[in-house]
Amino acid sequence: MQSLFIINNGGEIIIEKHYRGLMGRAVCDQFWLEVLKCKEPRETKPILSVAKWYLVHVQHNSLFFLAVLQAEAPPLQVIEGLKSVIEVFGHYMTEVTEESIKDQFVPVYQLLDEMFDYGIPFNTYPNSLTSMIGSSSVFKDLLGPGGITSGYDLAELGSGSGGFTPTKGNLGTGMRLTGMGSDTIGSPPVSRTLTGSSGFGSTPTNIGAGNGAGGNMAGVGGSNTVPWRSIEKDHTLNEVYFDIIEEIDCIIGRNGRIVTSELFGTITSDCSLSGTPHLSMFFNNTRAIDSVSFHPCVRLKDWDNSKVINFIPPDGKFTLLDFTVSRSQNIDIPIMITPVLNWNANPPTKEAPIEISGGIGNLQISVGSKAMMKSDLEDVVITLTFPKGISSTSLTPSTGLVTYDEITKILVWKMKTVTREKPPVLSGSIIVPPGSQRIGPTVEVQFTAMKYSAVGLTIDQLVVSEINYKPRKAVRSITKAGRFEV
Amino acid sequence: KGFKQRRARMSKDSKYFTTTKKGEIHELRRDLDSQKENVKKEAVKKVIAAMTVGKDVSVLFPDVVKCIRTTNLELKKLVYLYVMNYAKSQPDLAILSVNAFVQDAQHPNPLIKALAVRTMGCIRVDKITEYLCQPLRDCLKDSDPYVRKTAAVCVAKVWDINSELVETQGFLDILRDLLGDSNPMVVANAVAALTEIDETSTRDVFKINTANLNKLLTALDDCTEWGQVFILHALSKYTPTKPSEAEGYADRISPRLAHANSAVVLSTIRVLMRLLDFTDNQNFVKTMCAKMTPPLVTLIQKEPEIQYVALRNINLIIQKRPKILQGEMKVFFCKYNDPIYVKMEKLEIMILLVSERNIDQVLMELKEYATEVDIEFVRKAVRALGRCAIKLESAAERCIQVLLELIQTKVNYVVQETIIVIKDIFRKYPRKYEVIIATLCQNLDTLDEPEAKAALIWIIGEYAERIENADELLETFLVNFQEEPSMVQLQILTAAVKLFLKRPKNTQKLVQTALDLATKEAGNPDLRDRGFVYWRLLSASPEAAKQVVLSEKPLISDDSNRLEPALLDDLIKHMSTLASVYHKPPESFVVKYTKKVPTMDQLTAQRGNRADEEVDYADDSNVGQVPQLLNFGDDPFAPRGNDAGNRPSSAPVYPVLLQPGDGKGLEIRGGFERQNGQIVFNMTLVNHTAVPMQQFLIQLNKNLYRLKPVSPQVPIQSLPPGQTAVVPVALNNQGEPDASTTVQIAIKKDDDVFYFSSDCPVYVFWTEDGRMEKGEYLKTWREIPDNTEHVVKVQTARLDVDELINYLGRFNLFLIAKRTVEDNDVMYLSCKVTPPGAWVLVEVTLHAQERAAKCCIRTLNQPLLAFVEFALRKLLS
Repeated sequence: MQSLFIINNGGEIIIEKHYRGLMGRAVCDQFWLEVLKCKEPRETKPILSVAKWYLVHVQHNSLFFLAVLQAEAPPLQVIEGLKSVIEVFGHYMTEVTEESIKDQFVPVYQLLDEMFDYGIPFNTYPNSLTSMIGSSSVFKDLLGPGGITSGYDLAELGSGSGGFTPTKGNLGTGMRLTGMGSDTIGSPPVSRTLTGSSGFGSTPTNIGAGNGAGGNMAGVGGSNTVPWRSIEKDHTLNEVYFDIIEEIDCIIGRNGRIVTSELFGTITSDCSLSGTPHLSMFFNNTRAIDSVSFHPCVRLKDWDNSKVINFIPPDGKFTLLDFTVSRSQNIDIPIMITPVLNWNANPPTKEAPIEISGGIGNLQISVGSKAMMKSDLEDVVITLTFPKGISSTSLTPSTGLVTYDEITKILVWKMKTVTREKPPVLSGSIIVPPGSQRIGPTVEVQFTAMKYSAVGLTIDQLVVSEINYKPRKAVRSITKAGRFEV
Repeated sequence: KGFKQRRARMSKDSKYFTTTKKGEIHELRRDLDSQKENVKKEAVKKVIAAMTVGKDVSVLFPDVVKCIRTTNLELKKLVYLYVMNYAKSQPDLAILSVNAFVQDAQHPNPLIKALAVRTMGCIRVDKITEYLCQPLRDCLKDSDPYVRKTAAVCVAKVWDINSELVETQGFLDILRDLLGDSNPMVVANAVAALTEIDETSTRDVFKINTANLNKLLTALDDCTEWGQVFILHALSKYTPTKPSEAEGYADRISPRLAHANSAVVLSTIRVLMRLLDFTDNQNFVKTMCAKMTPPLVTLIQKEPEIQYVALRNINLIIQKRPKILQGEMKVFFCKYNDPIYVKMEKLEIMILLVSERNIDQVLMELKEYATEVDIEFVRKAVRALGRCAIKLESAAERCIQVLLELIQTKVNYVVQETIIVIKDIFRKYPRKYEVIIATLCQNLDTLDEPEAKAALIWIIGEYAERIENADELLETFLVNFQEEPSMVQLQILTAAVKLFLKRPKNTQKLVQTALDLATKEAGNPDLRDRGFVYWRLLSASPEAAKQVVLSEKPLISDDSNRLEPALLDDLIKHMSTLASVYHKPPESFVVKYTKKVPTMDQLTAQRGNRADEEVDYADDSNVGQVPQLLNFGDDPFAPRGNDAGNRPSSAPVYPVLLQPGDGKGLEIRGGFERQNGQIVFNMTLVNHTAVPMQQFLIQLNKNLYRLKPVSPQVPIQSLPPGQTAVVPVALNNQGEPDASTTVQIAIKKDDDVFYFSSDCPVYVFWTEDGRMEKGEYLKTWREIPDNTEHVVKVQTARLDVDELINYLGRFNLFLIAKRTVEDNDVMYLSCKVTPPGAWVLVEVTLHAQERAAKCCIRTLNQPLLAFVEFALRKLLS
């Protein structure tokens, strides 16, 4: 990209950064004209061709992140680059807004300088950037007690020239979640050179004396073969948590039969492990996983060869992978919803023949959790959208809270938990005046099922190696409803 | 937690954006001069903030530059930022900072070192660039990879400022060496830099061969996602030598499909798509295609911006390999909250994928879309229904049923669009669905859009014999004839003539009125001419008129969104680029080539101007879809066949022959070419002055080739200031002979005469009739004494036989036969050199390993040998 502009929702330029010589602001006016042409800003095409420029932009919080290109460049690279700008900014401000960008404009410029060189994205990893570039005025705070120390020597930990195998018991503190034999881990030795040829230890820190940042700066150099992980971190509590989150999109017919169901999964992690830990994750049922997209830290080859996820995690929270579940896989939906609706039609009249004579409908919706659930369903919300033609409803729940909006004709029924012992019921009647068709409501469902996986996906084994401490590891499964309709 | 605390203590830097006090500059200057680091830093921050809001703070340049020698890294970065912004406007002052930069570039801290080199590369002031060379060379060989990778990119920056410098300093070779660096990030950056340079260079500076291929593949596994994108981009240009290689290499990169970064995924698919062309192993192709499906589907579940790019590329993928997404129709159904640009693309894909199997589902969806609020989208959905009907004959009836239901909605724009669509369906299935005409005619009064009106009138004319009140209907239109747009007028006229020819009884008056209106009252020449034509036809012979007007029309088909195969292949090669988003030839995105092929625009312009009744309609199905695309076959400049990527023919870049300094602001680039059997001196004239240039004349000095311009006039009227013109000057060989092999040229402009000279590549004398008959070839070969054979060995990068044959053929060196001797390809070629009209036979043996071609040249005309050798060297290297 030639230049990057950040523009607010009034078309004003907040930040401009030029990578290949200065560019006039007029190009932004051109862009803004295109935005104004659209009914809503979000309808603006992400790639526009204006005069001799190509304009690629993404939007976030009413801000426009605009990249100006003069020649061919892969547009997805530009878009992903802009998205990572937003992501990285998010580590410097609670929310990326005009105000917060102005507040932090000094680090913002430094970041834009560091993330892209000559307009090409290079380092977009929050971990290493936050340790290189401090937040605006409190640069020093970065080096608080127990913050970042640069004393670790990579070579020492890396057992010489590196190369680790997850099976090496002496290196790892492999925790077996099941009795899977270590020799079944068929992954080849992962060769990652941990030479750390420069930087560490040898770098004089006098330059940093003024601001105290020099110490950690040294480790950030390109010498780091793990670019998404800043430097040797030292945590007092060494912990790593994984959440397996499954979201079910599902349409259930009135007879209770599943019409379509799809499942999207995510595994997120919150990691605070010292050193440069190597993690290997094994699943019980990889066949269930259809298409995956992994965080850059994952060794894709190992997954391709032996369905093991080998990675050196970044510090903090990150999404390890997104996946979809193959259609052949059986999805066990943890919730049961059965709406029953019986009509007492009004007698037909001349004006209103039987189809639209109106009447009273007796509605009963029962909710239950299925037998295989170990725990209760949580945060169950059932939304009933009635056709505009109905005149009134009187529905009462056996448990939970019901709100009804007269204008939108939407009824919301919220329950904290749903237990199997006492399945809740919503019952009552709806009245349809003559002249309207007797149609029942559409039913949308939200729920959360903790400690439950709809496809039975679990992590068999998680091995942490290349460390000299015993980490705490924990995994939990959560199943949620995505677009779930009855 | 740390961040929260930090935020709490954060001072509000945004306040700097609002300070607009008087004497601000003075105050800043004082602070910049302060002894206290903190004061200085705050001052620089204020300066940068002022810069950001568009204030000119360049007067502070000397004061800010003074702060450059700080040991505070943050302050240093801010100063660098400032210098980058203003150096261009203050080149003399910028020199002040050079020493500090050079010093920093030798700093022991690799970060500072890299920062200094990076910033210097961004300053873009020639003088500074000179100082940069030594530090850059050191940094390229630095022990720290962070420094090396930063320096690698810096080479591309310097190239952009002064490419000669990069060449003379040997930076390109160092960059190529970095491809074998131990650090994958350095490799990736070297690839990025070389790719950048290659795109704007006239030479191939970055070739992928088996040697560096493996290095790149190794680095691919270990570098960042961005590095992966660069490397994949470079890999996509590699041509595997045999199918097994292509397969092995596809297997090696396919794991990238599981990356979270969509750019990596799409770049991987690009390489895979290309590799599949090099294998015939159907099983392998099938497995690879199956591997590509899930990642493509995943892209459609990402953010709309990514979806948009993915959809544009998927459009190409489906046209090339429909199997990959055959079973995934549902993914492309529009969601209610998709932005309109995503919806539009999804509709296109739906039509590409629609088949007997999924048509019912698709019709349900489209019907749903036709009831949405966005008019543009609704129209496109209705059109899509029509295109489904035209694509799938078995489903046409069901489509029409849905369209009729839409007419019942009485929503005005839906009805109008539906009628336009039904007209197309009638053109595909004549006389099949006449029963619905009555329903259509009921809506006649509600139509107010010209296109819909014209469509319905066309239907009335076409089916005049079935519509009882056709005459009445047309009469109502004649009343307001003058007010109608010309599109509708033309249709009324034609429909009236058709009606008359089909039902002459009682319609004579009607047709007379129509003809009168068209020929006497109308100002539109098209309408008038058509009126006259009909009139003559009718008065000369009604039978002839019937044959003309009522003839069977050609059926239309739905290929409106199909790209031409050559362009499609080209775009598939360039997937994931801007070209693939716009579906336009990749060359059009390379802006740094100053010479554009001149005839392209003219060609498109001509194509857009056809005005003939039937063609009008045939083109209708194109409206609003893919824009008219160039047909490569028609373009004499465009490369033929698949090797559209070959630069010399598509956009030859000529050397500068006359520098603007020597030509009083006139710059001339040029070279000799053979075009359509004629030798042409192609000249690019650039006017760097502020006044127009006129009266160009050209003369050639006596030369060996007897070349002389056909006319001394240069075919250009005048050259406005700042403009570039490409002018071909036709030459013949009827001039006086001379011994000079370089051609001296004189250009006269206004009252100035400029002299320059150009080498004439001899192959322009190879004529189009140079393909010798096979038997004749053998005979001639034997006739030529063996001892007169001239053998040369030329280093070449053109190692693909078919590509080479194609390439040489374009220069009229024709293949007669080829064979393989000990794994080497041997080609027998012939050409005819005119003058003197002598045959030359050439045997070319390709030695792929040595990257060389051995050429044996035979001819009875001995003096030609040296010229042919010269030409071959030029063509092959």
